[in-house]
Amino acid sequence: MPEKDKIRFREFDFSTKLDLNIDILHHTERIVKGLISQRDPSIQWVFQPYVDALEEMSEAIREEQPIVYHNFTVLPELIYGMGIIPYHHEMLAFICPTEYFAAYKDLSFTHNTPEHLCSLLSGTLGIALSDGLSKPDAMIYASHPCDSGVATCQALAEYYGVEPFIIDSPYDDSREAHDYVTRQIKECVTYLEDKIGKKVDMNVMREAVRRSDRAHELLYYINEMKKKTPCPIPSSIILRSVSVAMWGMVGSQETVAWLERFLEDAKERAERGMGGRYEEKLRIAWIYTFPTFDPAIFEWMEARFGATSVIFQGAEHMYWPTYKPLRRPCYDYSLDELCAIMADKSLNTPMARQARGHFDYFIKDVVHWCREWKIDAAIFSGHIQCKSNWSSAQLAKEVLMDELGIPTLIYETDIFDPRVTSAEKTVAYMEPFLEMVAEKKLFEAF
Amino acid sequence: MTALEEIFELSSSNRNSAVKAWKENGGKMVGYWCSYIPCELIHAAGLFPYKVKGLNANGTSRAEVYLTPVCTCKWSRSIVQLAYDAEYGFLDGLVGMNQCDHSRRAHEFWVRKIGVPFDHFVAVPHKMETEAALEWYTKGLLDLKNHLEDHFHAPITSDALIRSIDLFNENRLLLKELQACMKDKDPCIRGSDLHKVIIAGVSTPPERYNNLLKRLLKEIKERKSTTDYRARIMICGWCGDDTTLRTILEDLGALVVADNSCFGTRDYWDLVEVEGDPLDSIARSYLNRTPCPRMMDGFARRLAFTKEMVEQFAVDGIILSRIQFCDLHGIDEFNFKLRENFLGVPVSSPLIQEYGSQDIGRLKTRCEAFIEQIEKR
Ligand code: SF4
Ligand code: SF4
Repeated sequence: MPEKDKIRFREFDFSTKLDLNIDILHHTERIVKGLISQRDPSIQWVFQPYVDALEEMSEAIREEQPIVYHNFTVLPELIYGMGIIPYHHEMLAFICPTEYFAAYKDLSFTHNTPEHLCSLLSGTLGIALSDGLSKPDAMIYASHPCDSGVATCQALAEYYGVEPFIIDSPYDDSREAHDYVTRQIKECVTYLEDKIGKKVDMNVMREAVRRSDRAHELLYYINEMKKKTPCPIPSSIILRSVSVAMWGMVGSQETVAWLERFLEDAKERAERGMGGRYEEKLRIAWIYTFPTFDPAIFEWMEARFGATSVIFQGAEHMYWPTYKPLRRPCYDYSLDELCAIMADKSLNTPMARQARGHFDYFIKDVVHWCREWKIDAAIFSGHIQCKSNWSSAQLAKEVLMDELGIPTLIYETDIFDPRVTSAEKTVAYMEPFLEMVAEKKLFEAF
Repeated sequence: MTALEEIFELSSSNRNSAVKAWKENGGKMVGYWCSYIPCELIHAAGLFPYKVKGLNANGTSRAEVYLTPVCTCKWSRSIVQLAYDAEYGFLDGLVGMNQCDHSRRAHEFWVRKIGVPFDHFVAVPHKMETEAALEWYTKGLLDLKNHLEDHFHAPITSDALIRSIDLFNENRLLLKELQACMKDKDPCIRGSDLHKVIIAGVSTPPERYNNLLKRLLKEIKERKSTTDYRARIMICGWCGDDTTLRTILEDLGALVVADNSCFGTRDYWDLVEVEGDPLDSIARSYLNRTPCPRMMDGFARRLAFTKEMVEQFAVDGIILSRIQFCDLHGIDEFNFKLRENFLGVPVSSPLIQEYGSQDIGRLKTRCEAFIEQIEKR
């Protein structure tokens, strides 16, 4: 790698004791806005979902709206559809500065939170225990993707003394399974009506679901663009923004507008044959999540090996190919129909779709992504607390090799907390693996 | 052999004398993982319902190829290892469920990589209280019934179901009678032995087990297991089929008088109430039983049950215990600590065990400190 291309990994300071009893929402908002303003103005739009999510939380508090928590498999369109703004409590843990995240996570352990709980959730609990979250009036969780999530719901419910609504997830993907969830979403509407003290307005609900459909459609086209070589979307910057936009705010006009811009940008780059900063030599699929604490990891891959990250299970490859929002043009759906649409989306949320049921769902999707997006190598960045996904890693590795001849790297990490596996350590895992993949590709070319 | 000696034999190995006798007579056996699989249903098909355990696994390295040791509980890994080692070769079938993220994967790998002549999966709801959950579960049990009937060519009639319900209800009542002995100031049985009674029960045909319990009750009723102990302890959480923690506590001079765990009271506390169709009755009763932490709307019930136990059995302190990596019990412990005042007795901070390779010294130190904390009150 030429000296000018040396990648600088983020430096963190975990040695300073942080005051955790601060207004972490507004603190994060200030920091995020400050960081964005330092970026090149031409790419500032990429980070808009962060700003939108944080501003929405502030607005919910300012307007004294009922505070409704939801986990990421309960899509926020259900809450927008009730005419209120969702409160992204898990998202705050996801977005807040990494040092704070780590400190909140540690704090939760001193209150008997199990240290093997998914760190996104122990971080969230830590913020709650520091009074950094607004007390909820209602909470909606689904039991997919994993025990960690819904167990956290129980902890928050007990801590705040709030009765939650839990959507019980089926294990299979049959019509009955979807109907079972549909029925519960309808019950959830009644629960919300009761908690927030107003009846559902069908036009508002239709509009939220319609926007969410539109967002999924746009995401589908964006993902289709990524099949092009070179991949026109430089993923290192964009991937977390997609997570925020989809998990936090699908159903809002902001997400639709942002994805429209994203698609336009991707199209333009594709037309001009543009990829990332470096020539694309290898195409990588992150078949599970990815380290979220340092985009420089992806830049390093591109600079050192021309390895473009094309697939991210946890982010862009959300609902496809299983879920296609083909709808009636007049969009006059009844509440039952809207609940069925939301059930299908919820069950196909990335990570949830792959983790909630039999491991074959994960394996099937992984093979599909790697085949259709012409992947050279897969990476399973094993989030060390993630029980259901970890147990599919080795099987996925075997199947990818047997069916597609694609090698897989499996390594241990905490995708939110660099103290477990730093960026340097992450690339140290990757280096020999990618070297091998590059050699293999070269060899196959002859 | 005394009844207690027979129970020790039955609880000490997976392929115990009951299994051997059953197989020698050409009987078929179906394994299951969790208390939410109704053994009545398996039994009514003429099969021996056998709850799989991780007892005596010799390492877990083969299981770990798929079930990562990074975060999978060792109980699940141990069971799969035993399956790899053909320790469970006597099973003619296996019924899995979404008990937790660990055990459901363990079931999948057992079926895929090792194989079993009959396998079935029941997606048990995580909610107790709703019509939708009850309908979903009832349908799941009906599917299991049909599959068992087809595979084993054994019609499960309503009469057979009622007979099985009666048999298991009798079994529960006998266990409750035994548990009631722990109310005494000087109980006739130690908590660690009672745990073995329960472990034996899930791996013995109910007919034989009921007779054994009756004999046991007769034999021990008049005796005193101990008259001098330091504290009366309740264990909440997962100790499974491992008696180590209870033994440590009792070796230190405490007495384990109650529990809220799945190889314990939760497994037998609630009877199946027959009202109308027996399968519907099973579904309703199982879904409404004293819930385990996998039931997401069940903490209030678990808390109330624990409080009732504390009062009925004059408990001096509660030990929270879980196996490493178990989120469900982990969060339950967070909640129990939040409600310590309500429970009115000291509640330990979580005591984490590594199944099958107990760090005895550490556990002893923690237990001793907790007993001293109780004594100082
Ligand atoms: S990363 Fe794993 S443990 Fe965390 S929420 Fe997702 S499925 Fe659950
Ligand atoms: S101990 Fe916990 S993690 Fe292990 S099988 Fe039981 S519920 Fe699952």
